[in-house]
Amino acid sequence: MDNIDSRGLLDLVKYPIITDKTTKLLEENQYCFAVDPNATKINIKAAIQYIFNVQVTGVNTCHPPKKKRSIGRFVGKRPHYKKAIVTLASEDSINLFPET
Amino acid sequence: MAPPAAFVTPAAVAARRGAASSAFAGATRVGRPAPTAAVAPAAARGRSARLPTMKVTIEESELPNSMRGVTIHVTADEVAECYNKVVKDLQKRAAIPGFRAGKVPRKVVLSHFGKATVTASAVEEVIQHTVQQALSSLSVSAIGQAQLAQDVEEIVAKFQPDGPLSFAIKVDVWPEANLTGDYKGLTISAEETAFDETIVDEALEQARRREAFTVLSPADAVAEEGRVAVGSLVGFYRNEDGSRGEQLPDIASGESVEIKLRHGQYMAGFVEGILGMKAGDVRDVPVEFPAESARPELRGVKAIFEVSVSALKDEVLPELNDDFAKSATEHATLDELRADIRQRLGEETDGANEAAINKALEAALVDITEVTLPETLIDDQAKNKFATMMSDFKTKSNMTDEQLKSMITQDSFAAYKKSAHANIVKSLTSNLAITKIAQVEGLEAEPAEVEENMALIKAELKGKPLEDEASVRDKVVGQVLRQKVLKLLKETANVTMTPKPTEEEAAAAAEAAEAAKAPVAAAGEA
Repeated sequence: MDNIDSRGLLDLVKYPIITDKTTKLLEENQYCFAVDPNATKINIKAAIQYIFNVQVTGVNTCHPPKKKRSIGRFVGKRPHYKKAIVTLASEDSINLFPET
Repeated sequence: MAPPAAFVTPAAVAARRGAASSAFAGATRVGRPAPTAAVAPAAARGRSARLPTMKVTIEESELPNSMRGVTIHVTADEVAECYNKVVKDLQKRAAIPGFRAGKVPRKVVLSHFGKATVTASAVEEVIQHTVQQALSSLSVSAIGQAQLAQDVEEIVAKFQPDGPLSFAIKVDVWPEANLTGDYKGLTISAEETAFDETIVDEALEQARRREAFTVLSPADAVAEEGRVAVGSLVGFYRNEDGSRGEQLPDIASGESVEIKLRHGQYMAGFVEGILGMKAGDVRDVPVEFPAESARPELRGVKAIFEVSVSALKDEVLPELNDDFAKSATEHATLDELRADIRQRLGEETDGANEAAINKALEAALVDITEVTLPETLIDDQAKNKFATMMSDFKTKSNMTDEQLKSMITQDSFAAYKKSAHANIVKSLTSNLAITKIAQVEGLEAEPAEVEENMALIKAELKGKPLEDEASVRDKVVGQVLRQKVLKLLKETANVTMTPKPTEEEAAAAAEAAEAAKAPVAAAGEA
């Protein structure tokens, strides 16, 4: 972990994914993030620990299927990201709703 | 705003990254970019009725211009309940991407719409529910809409989801009239509409004519006004040069017709042409049918009538005496008949006199009454009158709805209100004074009298159901009371009747009134 360059870590994690499904995961202290498609689980763990100052115990990732969108006759796809489900140590938590 | 381990990047990191580089700074992203927070208030509306009535404590204070200041205190429990209701409702309604409808967690809702928006709608909710409650527990009856005495922002800033809330409103209340003088023994002078005795004579004269009979005139009599000529008629079209043309259709001819020789009785020139004829004479009489003749084919036609007079009769009017009264009417004597006619014709003038006295009484009342009228009351009245004026206008001038609508604008109403302001103040003042007097005197509208009037109104509707019976009844009660008070005032007042101004003076007065009314008309035309 010491050999990871912390300068790239901030741009690794894009934003938290908050949906019906992921709010259920919160109860198991798992947090879901959209991350760079090239990020590794090791990098993701390092990034989350660095940004939120928490202990990460596990990372699961997946590439969600691409979604096609067409505008007129041009067919393209939506921006792609890697989904990372991060499990935190039981004593840690991240406040996803700072306003409340 | 700085909870522990919040989803906020450390300050040093944030500075390196720059505000816009990632979505982390500030608000949380929810799946896709969130819709604008302005959605929240709209979603929060329309559920006012579901909250149970709230307990509030109020403090009243007097404000100038017949206004009441009310401070409303709401307990923490009630506030919390309101707040929860608002959030719950948002949870049910909000369509947030990534969530099924109605399954959005509370936290997500709050961060999605923003705490400020939710708080604002909660405050709105609290105000809506408590104000009505507070107004109904006021010691005096309020009119119009209550207004917040402080800025909404201020209340929102104070608002705690689980703390008590107090805020101030102000509302117009019914003003109380203050009578500065004695309302008994008012000295007034009213215009008298004198009864025109000649009308009675005219009516009698007409009755005589109806009862007239004819006798044959002496042999050498000449046709003159007041006589009746008996003879035959043949009508012809009149040519340009005055000679006879073709014969007129049958309707204008006849044998042994009775022609009453009275100016204006028939078409123009007919009676005049016959004057001077004797029995046995034949003469061509040029006439012109009136333009509005009942027969379309005769309208405006120039014609010649060949009139041959076979006899002349005198019209004899019956003498005005008891016999005439007995034969022509059911009255026994002439005096009775005269009195009857006078009474029937006099009703109008009596009514006018009564109205004049009432008007003078009210004017005198206004002089001794002190009252501050709230703007809402004046506004209401002005609106009512404006609406009445407009609907009158519509029925009179046959306008389409669009034309009428185009006339009803803020500006025209403002102009009307300005011009009618003085009148409205006057009538409101006198009404309040009358109410006050009724109170002081302990006058009350008798149920029987009210029922009678109600029955009259219902009869006028002819079986159609009466809309809003309660308010109509209120109005009737008001009218009955008003009549009573005015009667009392009239009995105690010193009334001097002044003769009505002559026609010239009246014309001058009317002109002055017209000039005063001009702004109103302008408002109507605007």
